[in-house]
Order: sequence, then C-alpha cells, then structure tokens
Amino acid sequence: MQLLTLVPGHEALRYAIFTDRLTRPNNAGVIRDYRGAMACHLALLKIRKALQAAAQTNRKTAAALVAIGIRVPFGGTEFHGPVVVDADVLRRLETLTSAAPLHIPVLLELLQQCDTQFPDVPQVLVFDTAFFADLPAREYLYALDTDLARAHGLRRFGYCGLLHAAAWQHAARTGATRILSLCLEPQMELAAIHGGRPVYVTSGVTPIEGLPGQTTCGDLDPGLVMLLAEELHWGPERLNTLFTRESGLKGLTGRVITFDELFDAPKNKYTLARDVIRYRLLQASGMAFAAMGGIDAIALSGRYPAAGRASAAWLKQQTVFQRQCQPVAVHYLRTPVEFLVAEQALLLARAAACRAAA
Amino acid sequence: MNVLVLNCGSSSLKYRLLAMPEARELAGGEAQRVGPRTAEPSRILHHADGQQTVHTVEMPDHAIAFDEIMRLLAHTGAPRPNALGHRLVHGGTRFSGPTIMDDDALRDLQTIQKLAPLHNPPATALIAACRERYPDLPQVAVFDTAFHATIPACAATYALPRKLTAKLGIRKYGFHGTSHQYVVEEAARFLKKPLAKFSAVSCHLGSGGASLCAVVDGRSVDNTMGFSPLQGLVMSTRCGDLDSTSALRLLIAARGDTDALEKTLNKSSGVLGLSGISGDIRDVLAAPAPDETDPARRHATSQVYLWRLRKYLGAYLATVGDADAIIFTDTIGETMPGVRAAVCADMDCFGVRMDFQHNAAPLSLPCDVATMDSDIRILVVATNEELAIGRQTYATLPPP
Repeated sequence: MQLLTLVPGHEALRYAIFTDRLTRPNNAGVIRDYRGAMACHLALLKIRKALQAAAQTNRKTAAALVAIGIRVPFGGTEFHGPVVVDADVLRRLETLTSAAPLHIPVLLELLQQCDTQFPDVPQVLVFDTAFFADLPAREYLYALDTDLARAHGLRRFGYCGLLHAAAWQHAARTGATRILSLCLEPQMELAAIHGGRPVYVTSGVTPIEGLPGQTTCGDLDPGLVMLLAEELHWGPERLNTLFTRESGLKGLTGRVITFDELFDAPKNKYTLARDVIRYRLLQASGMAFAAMGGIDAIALSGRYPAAGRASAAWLKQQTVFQRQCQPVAVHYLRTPVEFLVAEQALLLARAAACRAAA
Repeated sequence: MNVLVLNCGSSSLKYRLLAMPEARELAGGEAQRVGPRTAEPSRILHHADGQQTVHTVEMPDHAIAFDEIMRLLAHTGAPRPNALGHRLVHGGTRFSGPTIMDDDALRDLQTIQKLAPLHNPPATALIAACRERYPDLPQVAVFDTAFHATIPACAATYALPRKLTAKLGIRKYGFHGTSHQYVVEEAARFLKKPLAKFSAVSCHLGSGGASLCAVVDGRSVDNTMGFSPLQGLVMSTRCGDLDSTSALRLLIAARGDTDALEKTLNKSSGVLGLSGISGDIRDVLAAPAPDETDPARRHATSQVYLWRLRKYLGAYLATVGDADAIIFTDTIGETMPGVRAAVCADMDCFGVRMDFQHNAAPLSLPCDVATMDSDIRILVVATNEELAIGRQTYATLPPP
C-alpha cells in the first residue's frame, strides 16, 4: 500500500510518500516550480517516478497507491471537514476562487494532473480552515456593514487548523479542556480552544492579520492602508506585497530570518523584533484567557519548536500565567503536517471504498 | 485665573469657562452646526448660573463661532478669560505634553495636520485665529496623544519595514489620552494610592469612540487605538480592528478611492454597520421591538461589541500584570451596568470579581463595584475632559 500527500505552498509543492505505515514517510521532497499546466505536469511525473522507486525498495508489499491527500489552505465556509473529490466538490471549490485567487486555480490544476497521472486513485482534500469554520459569530464577525462584509467574504478564519486540531487532541488527553494553542509556522497563529471548539483565533480574513509573521505584518491600524495608498501612491497589489512579503520579522530586522533564529539569537540581536513578538504573544494570550476564563494547558505545534519552547517559557513567567491555581502544562506536538494529511486521507479513502463495496 | 477651554469638533465648538485653580465653572456651552449652512440654523447653547439660553447666529467657521462665544460671555457678564486651553486630537511625536502656542509651536502644529485630517485642521485654524484677535492672551494646546507618549517601542511598533515607518511617522500614537489621564488620576486619589505606584486598565467607552488604556505606575503603556482613532474596539460608526488585506479588498472595490474607503470604515461601520438600526450601542442593547425584522442581527451586534471589549480587557490585564483597578468611564462606561457586567463576568483568572448587585444599582461616582475579596478593584469614574484641559492649561502657564 502506498499513500501520497501533497502540500501546495506559495513557492513550492511538498510531497511525501508513505508505505504501509503512516509513522514515517519513505520518501519526501520539494518541487520548487509547479504552477501552470506544464510545470504541474512535470512535477507530477517526478512524483510518479518517486512513487515507483519507493515501491521497488519495498518489494514485499503490493505497491498500489490507495489515496492522495492534499492540504488545502482555504476552504471558506464551504468545507467543514475533509472530503473525497468528486464533481460536486470541484464545483464547490470553484465558488471559492474569488476569495482565494492564489490558491484555488493552482489546486484545480493539481487535481486535474493527478487525474491524468493517477486515474481512479481517490483524492482527499484536507482543509486548514475547516477547524475554524464553526467559530462563534461574535468571533468571526467584523464590525463592518453586514451586507458589505458578506459581499466581499470578510469574516475571520483560522489558518493552521490541522496543527491546532491535532495539538489540541494531544493536550486534551491529559484532561485539559481550556487550551491555548500556539502554532509556530512562518505565520504564527494563536487560538483558544475550549472543550474542543475554537473560540478565539488571531488570524482574520487572511493569515496576515494577528501576530506578525516572518514576512507578514500582522495587526495594523486600517487607517494605515489609506495613508500608505495616498502617501506612496501605491496600488493594492504593491501594498499587498508590502504586507505579505516585506513586513513582519523581515521588516523589523531588515533580514530574512525564521522564528527559531529570532529566539535563538543573542540577547542584543533582533531586540526590537523579539520584544514586539513577545509583547503581541502576551496580549494574544490575555485574550485567550478572557475568551475561556483561564487556561489549563499550552499546546505547541509547527515547524519551529525552539521558538515555541522559548515563547512558552517566557509566557509562563508573566503574571497572568502565574495567577493560575494549577501550573500550566506545556505540550509539544511533534507530528509534521504531512502525517496529519495522510491520516485523514487514508481514513476517508477507506470509508469511501467501504461505501462503494456495500 | 480664568481659563476658557475650547473643544473643537468638525462642526461644533464646545467651551467652558473655569476659575482656576479651584476649577469652578463660570459658564459653558456649545456652538452647533458650525460651517456651511445646514437644514437647521447654527446656534449656541449657552449656560451660566444654572440658566440655559439658546442663541441663533450664523457661524460659517470656528473663528466666527469663537467671536460669538466671546461676545456672549461678555454680554452675560462673565469675567474675561486670562488664558485659552485648546483640545487637540493629534500631537504627533512633536508634542508629548501640553504646550504654549507661540509662533514656533503653531508652525509645528501646522506641519502635522495630515496625521489627523478630520480633527486637527479646524482646531489649528482656531488657534491661529485666536492669536490674531487676542495676541496677548496665552493659549495652551492639550493633546489627546500626549498621555501615550510613554508607550514603549514593543507596543508602539508596527511590523512594517522600518525605513518606511520612520519616513512616514508610522507608529501607535493612541488617543483619548486626556480622558484616560484624568480618570486614572481620579481613581488613584479615590483608592488613596500614589499615582506613581498605580496600575490599571482604563476603559473609556464613549457613545462615539472608545478605547482601552493600559497604565503602569501612572503612565500609559498601551492604547487600543493606533496610528489613527480607527483601530481597536468596535465603535459607533468606526470598524476598529480589521485585516489589512480586507481593507485592500475594499479599496479595490472602491476603485482605489481612499476617501470613499475612509468614509466606509469611519462612518458606516461599527455598531451602525453591524446592526443596521443604530450607531448607539445603547439602542442595540435595549430590548428588541416585538415586530423587529432581524432580532438575530441586533443580538450579533451586541455580542461582537462586548466580545471585542472583553478580549482587549484580557489582553491589557495581561500587559499590566499586577493591576490595581479596572476603570470604566464616559457615557457607556458610566451609565451601562450591563456592559460592565458582561466584560467582568468570569474573569476570576485575572483576580477580577464583580459585585453584580452593587454594579446594577444606581451609583454615585466615583464608585467601586468589585467584591471585597477581588484582587483588582472595579471603578466607575466620571470623566471630565474640559476640566482636565483647564487643569493642564493652568499648570502649564507661569503663575499669574
């Protein structure tokens, strides 16, 4: 048995091949250029070769590819959980194009190429926003004209749902019900998860809102958008590049650094950036406390564990954490996101196969 | 010394004549509908000695409104002011405290107009006009941003390229400083704590604008408003926090018209945009009419308003660390016990415990509505920006 996971990102397509067991992929790689029909075709050819190579090294087992799991960054209010792709799902995906113009067309191309290369292999979409599709209205609504917000799809989402959900499950095994979940990805995200339901999240319409990321600006005064447009005579596209590619840690330090590098750096290096990030984390934590009436545990996840541990250690020194009657436990989810995608894909593909057999 | 306090709105001019230092009010009032002629005539509501009078008079700009006010004061036998105290919304980085308006200061003030394009120009023009008319009358400008000059870099810095923020003066300025400073001083006095050791979260909840201020050792360390008064809480017609990319989406929809976007976010968002019925949260919190078409929308509006407030209260209590008090002030903060109760309920994790019965009863301000065993006091304090401006003006001028 083989299982393939695809994580299409802004600059690259990450793939991982699992054979027999989901604990560790036997082959994984990154393909830099995969956008556009031709590039996507070549990318999938490469992945197909990798699948064949993986099958040959594991000759003991049959090499059938049972499912392709694909992580999708945005599912809007349309997708509240993972789905097996069919004509109806494709139609629903197309309705999201205007809300996620960078992601959906690339995804649709990828699905089509998967069809060509791996006909009859079920494709399972796992949405990173799905965990947050049921946020309470008081949390997801902006204070905008109701019709205007609806017309432009302006509501809050969370964007690291797979990791938050897994980190919450991991922490909840100890009996904790009020969990502050901090996801250390290039766009850091903090969520308050109360009894399994997210009630507060730092991200907004896009992951740009909230905590500053490695290159994203985080919370800004909306008045600044008008000021920048007027003073610099920059159009929306140029401003979007400013907010998404040139801000955050990059804007504050003038260098491209990761969160691990930020927290590992000597005390006198990146001082302002570290102070800003810590301060925003403290305020977001205060909001999580207010949202749940306190917290039982901190759940960390994401690709920057050093930054996670440093942040959690620093937060625990703050008065608001010290006031807790019970000491706050810190859990770290080591599972990479590919594994979570593979797990869900296998589950859904098997369920679909059972239904087909019945 | 008699100080005439002037608070210049976009189409109004509020004034109060105070005998300092005892802060006795001699007269006061408001010139309304200043500017181009509107459906109703412009008028001055004047009060002195417990008598209210209405004077209808044309006032095409604030300078003429000021002339009319001076004439009215003289006519009603009020003493001549010895100084003017002006309220200014924005002081930029140049003004970090009340400032005597000489030629240099006025010129500097004129260079920062664009930081608050709606609020600063009329007040600045008024100061210039007053200097022309009464060159010997000392004038002091008191800035809403000044109290927040102590906000540290970690809170004042936006995560944008530093060259850009330096060039355009982009940072968190914070607003409502005059009111926050006033109620913080009142609260410290009420609790008999030295101001330099007093820490609090001050909630200025007006029927129009609203902001929270984190105060450590008597100094502001954060404010929910930011570069402009648009950021932060849900306000009457202002949106507060918004994803900057959604502001971009709206800018595209407005075909790049920044004035139109400014208007949308400032005038038709907030409580008004969400509820569709009123920009006043008191109307939204009132019981719905039996024939109301969309009670769910009214409910959602109050939920969003209260939730944002509660989250920021948590954030600011975390910022302050060991707060002595939460302070509620201004129209909503002083008169809406339900708002105070909603944001203070279930906040035990911060050491906040409210006496809900006491909170709901009629209060004589200032007042403490926390339970005896609450770690943090919950105070309701009446704000008085005009008095604060009068005090600061008096303290800034050399003794007579």
